[in-house]
Amino acid sequence: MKEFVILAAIVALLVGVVLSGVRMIIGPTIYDRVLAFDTAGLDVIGAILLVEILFDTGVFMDVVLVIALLGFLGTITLTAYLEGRLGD
Amino acid sequence: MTDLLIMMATILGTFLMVVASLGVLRLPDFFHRVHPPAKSSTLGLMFLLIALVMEFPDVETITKGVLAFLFLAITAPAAIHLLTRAAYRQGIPCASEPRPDDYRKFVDRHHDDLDPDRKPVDAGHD
Repeated sequence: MKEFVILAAIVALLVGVVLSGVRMIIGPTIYDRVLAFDTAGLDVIGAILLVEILFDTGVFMDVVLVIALLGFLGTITLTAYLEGRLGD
Repeated sequence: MTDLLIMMATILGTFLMVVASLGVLRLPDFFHRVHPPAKSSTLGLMFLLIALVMEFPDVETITKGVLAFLFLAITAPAAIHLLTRAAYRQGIPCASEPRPDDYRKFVDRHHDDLDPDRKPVDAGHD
């Protein structure tokens, strides 16, 4: 029962990644694409957490931290690039 | 009992995250679309992290889980806030005119290097 629920949740999160990917493709502005990339990254983090529960292991925790850090840095870097500066 | 709580947290967190992705796809313009990942997605991740910590209640997982919890709770909304600020200053159009628009007055008063008649960078909402 628990395995089935977790597996279905992983599939649902991957569907969420696909939905964000559609927004990433159709845009229409670059800001929408950055936002959709951020959302897809959060969905992937959630899926990795559930894979950890499914495989009964704790080794992917570092992967979660690294993906969270890289997603944040990516969004901040693209924002600074788009705005031309960072901060007031 | 623990299994039931884990399943409930998993279902709730997954629901929130999928709804956030759906909102990013379906909402009418950029300033609507920033809300789902900033609020719903972050809360969904918190529930999934709670499910993980309930599944493995050992020191290592709890430490890293709390670390990921704090980091994501701070950075995910902050990054999207910066993105929204950059988009507003670029002049991305809203589906409906925001009223009252206090931030526009602030930007006009404090940032006279920005062109007040600035045009959108690209085609607006679809």
